[in-house]
Amino acid sequence: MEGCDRFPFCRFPPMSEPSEGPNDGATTLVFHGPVTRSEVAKWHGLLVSAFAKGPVRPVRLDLTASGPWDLAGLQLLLAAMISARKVGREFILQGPPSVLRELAERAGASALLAPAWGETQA
Amino acid sequence: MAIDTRFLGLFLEEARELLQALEAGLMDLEARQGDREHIDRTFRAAHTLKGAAGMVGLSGIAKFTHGVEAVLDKFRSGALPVTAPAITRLLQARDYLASAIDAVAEGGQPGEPDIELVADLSVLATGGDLAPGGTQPTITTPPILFDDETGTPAVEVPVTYRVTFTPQVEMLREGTNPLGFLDELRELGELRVLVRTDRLPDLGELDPTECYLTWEADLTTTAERSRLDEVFLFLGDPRQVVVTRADASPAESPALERPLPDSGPTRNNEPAKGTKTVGTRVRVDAERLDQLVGMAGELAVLTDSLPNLVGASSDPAWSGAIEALERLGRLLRDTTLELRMVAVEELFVRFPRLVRDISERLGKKIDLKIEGADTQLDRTIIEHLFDPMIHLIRNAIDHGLEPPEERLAAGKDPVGQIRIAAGHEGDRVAIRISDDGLGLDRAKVLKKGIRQGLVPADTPIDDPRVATLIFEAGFSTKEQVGELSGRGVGLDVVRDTIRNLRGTVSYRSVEGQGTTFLIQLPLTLAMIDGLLVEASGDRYVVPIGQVDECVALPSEELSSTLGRPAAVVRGELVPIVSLWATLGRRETPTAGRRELLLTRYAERHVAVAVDRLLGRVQAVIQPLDSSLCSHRACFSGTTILGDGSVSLILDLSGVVADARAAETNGGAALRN
Repeated sequence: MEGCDRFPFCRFPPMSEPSEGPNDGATTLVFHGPVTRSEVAKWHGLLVSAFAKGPVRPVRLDLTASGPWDLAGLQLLLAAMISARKVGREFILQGPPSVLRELAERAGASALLAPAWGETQA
Repeated sequence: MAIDTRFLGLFLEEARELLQALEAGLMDLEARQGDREHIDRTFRAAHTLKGAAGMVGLSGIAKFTHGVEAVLDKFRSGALPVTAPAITRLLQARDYLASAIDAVAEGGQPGEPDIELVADLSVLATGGDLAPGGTQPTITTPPILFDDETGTPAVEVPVTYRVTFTPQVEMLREGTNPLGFLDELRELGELRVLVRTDRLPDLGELDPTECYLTWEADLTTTAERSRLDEVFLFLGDPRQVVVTRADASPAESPALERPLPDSGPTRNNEPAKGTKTVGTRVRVDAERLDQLVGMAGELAVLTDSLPNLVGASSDPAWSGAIEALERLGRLLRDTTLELRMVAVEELFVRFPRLVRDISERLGKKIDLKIEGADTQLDRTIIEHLFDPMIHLIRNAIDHGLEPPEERLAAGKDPVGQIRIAAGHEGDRVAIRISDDGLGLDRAKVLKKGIRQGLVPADTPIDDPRVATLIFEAGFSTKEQVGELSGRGVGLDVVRDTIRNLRGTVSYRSVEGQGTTFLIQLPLTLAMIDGLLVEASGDRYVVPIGQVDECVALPSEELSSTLGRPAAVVRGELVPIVSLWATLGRRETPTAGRRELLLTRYAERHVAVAVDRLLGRVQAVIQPLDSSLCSHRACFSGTTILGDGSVSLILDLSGVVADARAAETNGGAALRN
């Protein structure tokens, strides 16, 4: 795995850049590692730039390697999902880890996110 | 659950305060049965501690505290009478929590609570009573190990409440997790939660560190309504939560017991009209505060010298600016000095428990009265005052107050009185610890003093030295060494500790009527009034409080006794200690006279000779780096003088002690 491009010795994976999905033309973002209050600004910036890409295309978040999650991360997902809905953009959450599902359940957000859940992490 | 170290420091600080509040509350519970406000306050201390411990992941402490809380809840509902054995057990539970929190503070793990204590709390939490000896339940019920976090329901019929929770947008950023409140609600019954996104902005306008989500939750529970309120006790602004009966008709519903927040996010800095703005406090690291006080003091010292510069320019703006700077410098110094002041209540609040425990152990009945707890003192003084005060209180209970039967026989109330009173006297704070016990047996003190060779055998009973014997190291009149006192270790330490705080301790005792110890202390340790003196060309600051008198004597009036310099001051032969000699400096030739600073050492006058007195100064004390000098005991700190030079602050008792030690080593001890 390549290191982060900001620091030569960083062992974290590089930040995801929006990329086009193979078949559906969706903009895919890969979330690696923590999505908590400390890091949420970074993921927010990434989502905003993905949403800024026109024309309106589906956005897929690959969450398979993400976690831990906290309420700030969950709130970001909800904001992204609602913003996507407003402009008729498809929003897919791929491979949400069980920790995120549990958090959503605890926060009473499961029903709201249910339409966006894709495949669950194995 | 792992410990959340981010907030551990804050938790530990808060936990200690809560434990203090819990102890104070428990101490008064017996006397204030039926005082709903008091029991609520005590309950809240336990409840808040439980919640705070849970939030930082200390689940063991949270669970144990839940047991304490459950017992207090029984008191509150009237299901359990407040009895002495129950209070004793709860105080022991508090002690366990204190030790567990100390262990966490030291980076360890909280130890396991005593199994009998847990069993007793379980009995109490289910409404059982304890036998007076404790640990012998009068009813047999399976012990609750506090895993049942819902506690014992007081209301048997389940009720559904609708909880609307609108957290302040800053909540996440301030480190509070709103889900923690929902988790607590879940502990009370069956909870159905729905998140609301009404105030969630578009993604582009979102500040992801703020909390825009709100919640509606239906809680079906048999718990009392007040338990729901307690879940949200931490919230600064109660408008964030609205609780209504979801299963009542609108007419019956106590809906909107608290007004709904205005639309839009609620911010701390935007209080609604008519709401009382609560004063906010900021926790500041004590070391940083001391640095600030030191810097403000130095600034004030420097600005005090500014008037000398007024003539440097004829521009009126120049003199105006100098005056303003000088005024601001003083203001800043005074304000920062006030920041170090705390109420002695922080100290006094620990004494009722101590008195209760000791009196129980000794079988004495005691009524403790505390007065002037709002008197303010320097934080550092308060930190060091606990041990000496504890000693004096223990002495009062152990040596002073008689057992009830003896008091009755002497025509006294069987309940002994101990009074702790603080107040301002001039520019000092006076703390009095009084008892109405036996008083000091002067004959016994004298006899013991003679036996120990502390006073000559022919010393009359009214000799003033008799009164000071009790402050001698190893002196005790108690015939039997007890668990609490009588070991002869103490009053000398008390005196030394108070002296180190630049205070004094004295006492007055009337045989058969009681004893009062008086501790007098400066308001602050950050600054002193000092005398600037010169010796061997160096300038030193001497705290004025250590100087009884300044005397200038012609050299021909100086004499010597047994080969050591001395002077006769108003008929009293006073040994002289030379500052330059003690500090290993060269003596400066003087023009026919000596400046002597009269100080007290071991209750006798000793004169410290210096070259010149330069005047009075106000000095901000800075800690002394021990590597700076070889005569560490002679100095209490350093200070920066108005001209920017650094000066050492002398401790005259250290100077005399050093001189005495040097003479002893040289074979000629300075005799008292």
